[in-house]
Amino acid sequence: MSADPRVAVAKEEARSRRTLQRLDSWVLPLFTVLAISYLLLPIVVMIIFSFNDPVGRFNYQWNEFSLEAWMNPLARPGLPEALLHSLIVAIVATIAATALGTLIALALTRYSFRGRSATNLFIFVPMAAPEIVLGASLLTLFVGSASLEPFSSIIPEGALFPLSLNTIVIAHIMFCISFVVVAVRARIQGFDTNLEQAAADLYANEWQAFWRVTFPLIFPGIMAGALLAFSLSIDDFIITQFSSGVVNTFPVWVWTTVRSSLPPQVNVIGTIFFGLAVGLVLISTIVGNYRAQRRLRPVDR
Amino acid sequence: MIGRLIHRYRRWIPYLLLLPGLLWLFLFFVVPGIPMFLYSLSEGRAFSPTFQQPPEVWAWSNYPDAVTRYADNFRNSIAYGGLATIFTILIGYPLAYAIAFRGGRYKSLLLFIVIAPFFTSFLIRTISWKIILGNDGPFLGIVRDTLGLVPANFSILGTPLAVVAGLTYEFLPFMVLPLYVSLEKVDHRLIEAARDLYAGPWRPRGTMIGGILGALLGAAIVVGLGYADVVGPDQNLALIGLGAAICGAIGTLVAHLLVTEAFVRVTFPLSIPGVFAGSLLVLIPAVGDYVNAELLGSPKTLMIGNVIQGRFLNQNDYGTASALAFILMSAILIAIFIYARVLGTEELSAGAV
Amino acid sequence: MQRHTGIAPLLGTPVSRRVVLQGTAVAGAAAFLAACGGGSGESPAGSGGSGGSGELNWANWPGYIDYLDDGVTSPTLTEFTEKTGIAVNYSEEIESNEDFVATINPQLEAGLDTGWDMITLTDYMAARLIERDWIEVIDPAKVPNAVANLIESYKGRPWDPEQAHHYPHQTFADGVGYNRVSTGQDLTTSAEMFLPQFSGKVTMINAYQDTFSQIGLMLRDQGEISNVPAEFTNEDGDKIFAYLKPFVDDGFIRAFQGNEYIQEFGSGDTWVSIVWSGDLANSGGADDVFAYPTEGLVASTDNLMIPKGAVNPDGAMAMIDFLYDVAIAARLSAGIKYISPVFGAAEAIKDIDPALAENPLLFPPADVVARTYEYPAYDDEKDAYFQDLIDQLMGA
Repeated sequence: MSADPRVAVAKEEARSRRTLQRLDSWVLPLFTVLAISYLLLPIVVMIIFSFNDPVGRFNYQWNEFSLEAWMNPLARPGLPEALLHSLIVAIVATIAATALGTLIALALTRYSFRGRSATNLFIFVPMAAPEIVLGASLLTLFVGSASLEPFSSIIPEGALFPLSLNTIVIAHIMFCISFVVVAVRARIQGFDTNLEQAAADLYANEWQAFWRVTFPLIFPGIMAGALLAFSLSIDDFIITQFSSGVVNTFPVWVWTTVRSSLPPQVNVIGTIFFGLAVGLVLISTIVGNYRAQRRLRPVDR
Repeated sequence: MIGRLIHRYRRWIPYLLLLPGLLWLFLFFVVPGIPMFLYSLSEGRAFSPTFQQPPEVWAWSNYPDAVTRYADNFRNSIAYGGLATIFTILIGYPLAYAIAFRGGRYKSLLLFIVIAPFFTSFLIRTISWKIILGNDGPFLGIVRDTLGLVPANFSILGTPLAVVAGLTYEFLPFMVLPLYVSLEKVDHRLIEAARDLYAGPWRPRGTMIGGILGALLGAAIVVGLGYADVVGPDQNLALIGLGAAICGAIGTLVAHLLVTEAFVRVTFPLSIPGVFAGSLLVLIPAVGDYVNAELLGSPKTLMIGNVIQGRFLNQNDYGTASALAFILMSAILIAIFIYARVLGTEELSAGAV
Repeated sequence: MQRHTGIAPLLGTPVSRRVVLQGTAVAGAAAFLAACGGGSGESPAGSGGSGGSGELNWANWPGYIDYLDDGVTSPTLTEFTEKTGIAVNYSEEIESNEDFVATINPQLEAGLDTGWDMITLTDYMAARLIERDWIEVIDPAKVPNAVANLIESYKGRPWDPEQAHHYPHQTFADGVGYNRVSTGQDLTTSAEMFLPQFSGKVTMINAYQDTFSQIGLMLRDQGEISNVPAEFTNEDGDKIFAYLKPFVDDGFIRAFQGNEYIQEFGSGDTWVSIVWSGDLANSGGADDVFAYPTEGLVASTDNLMIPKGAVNPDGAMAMIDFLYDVAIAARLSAGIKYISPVFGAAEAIKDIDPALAENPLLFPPADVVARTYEYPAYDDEKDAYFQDLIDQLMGA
C-alpha cells in the first residue's frame, strides 16, 4: 500500500505492459494463421479438386477420388508446349526485368542527378496503363517494324515480327520493370548510408563496397521484385495474347480451354507450380538451418 | 581498376544505371504509345473505311466526352481500387510484420507461402473461390441456408463485395512483399531502445486515433461498396453510421490493447517506404483492373478497365478507348504525386517523386 | 409475308436481309431435310491429300473439334495428319469474333502474315473481313470435296457469292439454356427467362447479335416489334434496350458473358441464360438443358477462311477438303453436336449412331426450323448503334 503516486503509475504501467505482451503473444500469431489460411484456401480447394474425377467437362462438383489427372498431368492438347513457353518466358523476363529494374532503383535512390524526379514519376506510368492498351500498342509496334520503312529494312526479320516467344518476352520485361523498381526502392529507402560510407572507407572503392555491403543489404528487395515479376509474367493473359501470334502460353491456354472444359489437369499443374515453389524454399530453409546449427556447434578438433 | 573508373566518372553513373531499363521502356512503352495517342484523337471505328485520325481530324472532344459518359465507371474504379488497397494494408501489414519480426528462420518460407498461390493460374484461383463462395458452395450453405443470416435469394457473385474481395486477394502479395522488405531491415536494437524510452501502450491518444480511423474506414466501406445505394436514400446515413460505429469500436479496441507507442514512434515511420510502395503497387493495377469486375461483378460494378477493354475489342472504338487510357494514366500520376507529398517525409518525397 | 428463312436457308441461302428469299420457311426446311436424306456416299475424285506439307496453324472456337474422352486425341486431326503428312497446330484461340480479330487486325491491314493459316469466324465477321479484302482466294481445284459436297442452301452468300473465300465449318443456333434442378421447371419460351423467381440468376450473351435477336423475337411474338432480327431498325433496338434495362438495373440480369455461362451453370450461380446450341450438350452438366424458344430463334454459321499472308494456304485447303469428306464430316458433327454443312453428312450420322437421329441439336425438328431466323449482319453504322446499346446495358 504505497501512497506514492509515482509507484502507482509505475505499477499500472507495468501491468498494462504485461497485458500487452500477453495479448501480443497470441493475437499476432492467430492473425497470421488466419491470413495465411485465407491466402491458401483457394489453393487447398485447387489441390483437392486435382484428385477429382469430374462428371462432366467441368471440375466443379466433387465426384470421386481419382489419380487419373496426376498420372497424365500433361495429357491435354497443347498443354506441354504452353507450359514450356510460359516457363521460358517467365524465367527470362524475370531475370531481365529484375536486372534492369534494380539498376534503375539504385540510380533513383543512391544518386542525385538531373531528371531524377521526372524519372521517379515516369516509372509509374507503365503500371498505370491498361493492359489492353499496352497489348494493342505493342502489336502496332511489332507490325509496324515489319511493314513501315525504314524500320523494316533495319530491324532483322524475326526480332519483332513475326510474333514469337521473342515478342512475348519483350512485352513481359516491359511491364515487369516498374514493379521491380518500386519493390527494390522500398528496400533501399531509409537505409543508413553511414554503413556504405564506412564500407567505402574500409574497402577503398565503391565497386567493392557495393558488392560486399550494399548488395547483401538490398538483396531481399531484389528477391521481392523478382517474385512479383515472376508472378506477373506467369499469369499474364491479355498482353500475351496480343504479342504471341500462334504461340500459346499457359494462361492463354487455360483461358481458352476453360470456355469448353475445365480438366483436373489444370489443377494438377497449379499444384505442381505451388508445390515446387514452396518445396524449393522449404529445402533451402532446412539446409540453411542445418548449416547454421553446424556453425554454432563448437569445433571438435 | 573498376573502382577507379567508377570514381573518375561518378557523375555518369546514375545515367549508366538508368540507361538499359529506360531505353527498354522507351522503345516498348513510349514509342508504341505515340500511335495510341494519335488514336485517342481519332474518329470512327478503327480498321474500317470511316476511320480518321490526325492529321485528318483532331478529335480532342474524345476526352471530355469519355469522362462524362463513363463517370460511373471511374467512380467504381476509384472506390473498389481504394477499398482493395485499404483491405490489403489491413491484412498485409500485420502479416508482413509477423513474418519480419516473428518469422525467425522461417521468414523466407512464410514469405513464399504468401506468394506461391500466385504462381498458379488466376483463373484456377477464381474458380476455387467460386466453388467456395458460389451459390451452391459451402459458405452460403452455412451462412444463408443454415444460419439464415442473409436473405434466401442472396448470392455473393455479382455484388461489389465480390469484386473488392477478388481485387484484395489478387493484389495482397503486392502489398506484403514491399512491406516485408522495408520492415525486415528495421534494426531490432532500435525497437528495444524505443521500448525502454516509451513505456508501453499507445494510450490514451492512440485509443482515440484508432477509434476515429476505424470509424472513417467503416463509413468508407459502406459508401464504397454501395450498400447505401441498395437500401435507398432514407437509410443511407443510418447505415453509414452503423458501419462507422462498428469499425470505430474495432479500431478503438485494437489501438487500445495492441498498439505500442514504440511501434508508432519507431517501427511504423521506418516502414513508411514500404507502405508507400505497397499501396501504389496495389492501387495502380487495381484501379485499372478489368478481369475481377468481369468475372465476379455485374453490369453495375464494371470498372473503367472494362470499358476500355470493351471499346477496344467490341467496338474498335480506338478513339474513346485510348482517350480513356490516357485519362486514367494521368489521373493516377496526379494522385501519386499528391500522395507522395502528403505521406512523404523530406526524404520520401525527394526519393519517391 | 415474313422474311424469315428457317435454319437451312438461313444457314446458307443466298439470303441477305436485302434480298428477297427464294423459299418460305417451310420450303427451306424441306430443302434442308431433303438434303439431309439425300445421297451420301458420293465421294468425289480429289482425295483431299493434295500433297501438302509442313504445319497448319488453325485457330478455332472451343468445342469445335471432336476430342475423345481422353481430351487429347481428335480422330479428325489425327487422320488428317496421317493422310496428308501435315502436322496441325490446332488452337482454340477464338472465344469471340471481335476479340480474336483485334489480335490480327494490324497484321492484316499491313498485309503481313497473321501466323494463322486458317481461321474460323462467324458469318457477319467473315463478311467484314472479305469485304476488306483480307481473305485469300480458295482454289476450287484444290478443294474438290468441298465444291461437290457443300449443301446447296449454303451457297452464294451475298458477301461471297462465288464461294471464293470461305467454306462453312459448323452451324449453331441460339436458345434458352437452363438448369432443371435450379429452376425446378422446364422452360420453352424466352419470356419464361424473366420469371420473377429467377432474379439474379439470369445471364445473357455479351454480343448483341445473340441477345438482341432473341429478346427481339420475344417482343415480336408479343407484338411490340414487327421486324425479324436481320432487319431490326434502330427503333427496334431501342425497344429491346428499354425492355432489358429495368432487369439490368434491379439486378435481375446478373451478367452479360460469353461461354463463361457454362462454368456458372456448374457453380449454381446461373440458372437461366441465352446460350449457343452445342455448348450445353457438349460441356454442360447432366441437368443443363437447351431449348429452342417458341417465340423464335436465330442461327448462324462459322466459316473456314484463309487470311491473307498465310504461309501454308495449301495446307489449309487440304484441311477444308478433308473436312468436306462425308464420312469425316459426319463423325465430326456427331462428336461435337453442331449441324454440318456437308451434303450427306446427316445421313451418315444416323449410320454412326441411330440414336443421334433423334437429337434435336443435330436434327432440329421442322417446327424449330420454321421459326429460325437469320443472324444479324448489320452495316457498320447500325452495328455501332446496336453495339452501343448493349454496351450501355453491360455497364460499359
